[in-house]
Amino acid sequence: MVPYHSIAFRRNRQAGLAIVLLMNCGWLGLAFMGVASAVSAHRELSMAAPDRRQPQAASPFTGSSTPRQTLPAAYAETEHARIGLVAETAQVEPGGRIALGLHIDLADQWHTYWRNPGDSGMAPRLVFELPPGFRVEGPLYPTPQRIPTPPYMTFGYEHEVMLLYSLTVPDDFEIGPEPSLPLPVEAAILVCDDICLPARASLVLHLGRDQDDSWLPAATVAELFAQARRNLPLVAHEWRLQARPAADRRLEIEVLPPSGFGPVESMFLFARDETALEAAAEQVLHFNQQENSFLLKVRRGFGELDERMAGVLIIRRPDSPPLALQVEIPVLIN
Amino acid sequence: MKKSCIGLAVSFLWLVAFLPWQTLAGGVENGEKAPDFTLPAVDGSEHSLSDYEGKFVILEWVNYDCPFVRKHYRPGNMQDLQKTYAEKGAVWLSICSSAPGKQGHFTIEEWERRIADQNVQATAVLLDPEGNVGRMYDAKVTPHMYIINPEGILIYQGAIDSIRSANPDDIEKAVPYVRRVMDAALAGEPIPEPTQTTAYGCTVKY
Repeated sequence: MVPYHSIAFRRNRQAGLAIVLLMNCGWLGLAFMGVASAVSAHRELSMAAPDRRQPQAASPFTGSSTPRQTLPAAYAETEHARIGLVAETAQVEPGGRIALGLHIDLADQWHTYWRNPGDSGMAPRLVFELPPGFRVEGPLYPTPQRIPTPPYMTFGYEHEVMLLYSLTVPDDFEIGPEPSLPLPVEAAILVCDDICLPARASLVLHLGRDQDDSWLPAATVAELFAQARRNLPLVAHEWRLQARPAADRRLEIEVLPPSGFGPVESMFLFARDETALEAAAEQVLHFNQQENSFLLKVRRGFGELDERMAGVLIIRRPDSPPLALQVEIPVLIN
Repeated sequence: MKKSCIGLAVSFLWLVAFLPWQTLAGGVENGEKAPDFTLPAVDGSEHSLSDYEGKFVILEWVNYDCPFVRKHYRPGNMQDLQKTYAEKGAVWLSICSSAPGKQGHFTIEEWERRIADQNVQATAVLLDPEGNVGRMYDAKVTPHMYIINPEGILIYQGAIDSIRSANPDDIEKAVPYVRRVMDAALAGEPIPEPTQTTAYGCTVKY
């Protein structure tokens, strides 16, 4: 199968997010910790395909002695999007983890959605048919962008996006006589330009094999995962955030950057919960020069105020790429 | 150098700070009087909300080509709701706020054909091509649902049910918000929460 026209990346809009403090990616953090720390230590290595081959082993379930030229991928063509499932490794080892990606490659002008889609739309849905004992966690969503549909606002992705999942192989997994592990998934996404079309794909990823004609070049898969990880929001522990309710259903979020953090042009908070904030409301930033802190004023949605507000905070700077932080902001409820 | 950067940022923020809050579309809170409106129906008759005082009124924002609307019309779920509550004395007004040239905006002939083909059971299908009534109610998507009690008070707004998808197979698995509120209200029982939910669907094509 010929790779889709754009798998070799056209864009790298959020490469700056890789100034990596990928200490933790929420509840999936552990799954990706190994990769994250490798990235932060040697960023250039993140571009190379991870190499977990065991030189002495021959079976695809335990490793291969020949260099792996392709990696598992299954794609389906829909009207305005190509939907694929890719695996970072083909090897199925007892107790091991396999990173999977739901890759959505969109036609120009079309978009799909973040976990909180905003005022309309729908997040991608993936249903796995797992072999006994296997577990899957995820997805991790890359940093979304605002996609206005005046007077309303949606949150999502244009061009292409890859959601990350982690598949855990049971400790007692035994290698069968047939060295192939089919992993069927049903993907349902919504793609919109002015109008919206649902797209569904039934994909089967064959893990455990050594090679397959339908797979993608290993370098392409490595680049897809590297790009997806670069686009994840970062958890930066040096940032201090706190929110308190104000009049007129507003919420004031105090943002204290780490010392020495440069000037900021604007901030925008994507709330994880779709009822937490008005998607289309202006978010206004005030700077307190004395304290070197910021006050971001946002408007609440109709949801009850929780003690914590989870989301992704985008920080735009005049002379650097924007920074995306995964945040969980304590809310002072009186 | 650093100072001038901060200065720049401060002056920028100064500007930002005085931008007005974006004026959002209207919207009605639950418990408030639902604002009156008058719109023409596909058959040329005029309908005002105030014509129906003393009855339950269900407003349904519609765009027959939106996959989330189709999800409920193809298997007959929407028509079933329309028929069920019409038989119990409620009024069902489908409202289309698609602007001319946008998806869901049809000629009268096309409206008549669609309504007949789908066996629509609404009391009336109202045309709001300028979007005034849609904006008044802050109808964001199709389908966006509103329930007004016989006193003219809004008692529910949001999604038709609990599963945000375009797949008809999900209808049976979902919590049917509109059905639950109507059944309780007609029986004189307390209205079950939630009474405000995030409507899911396609953006209204204003």
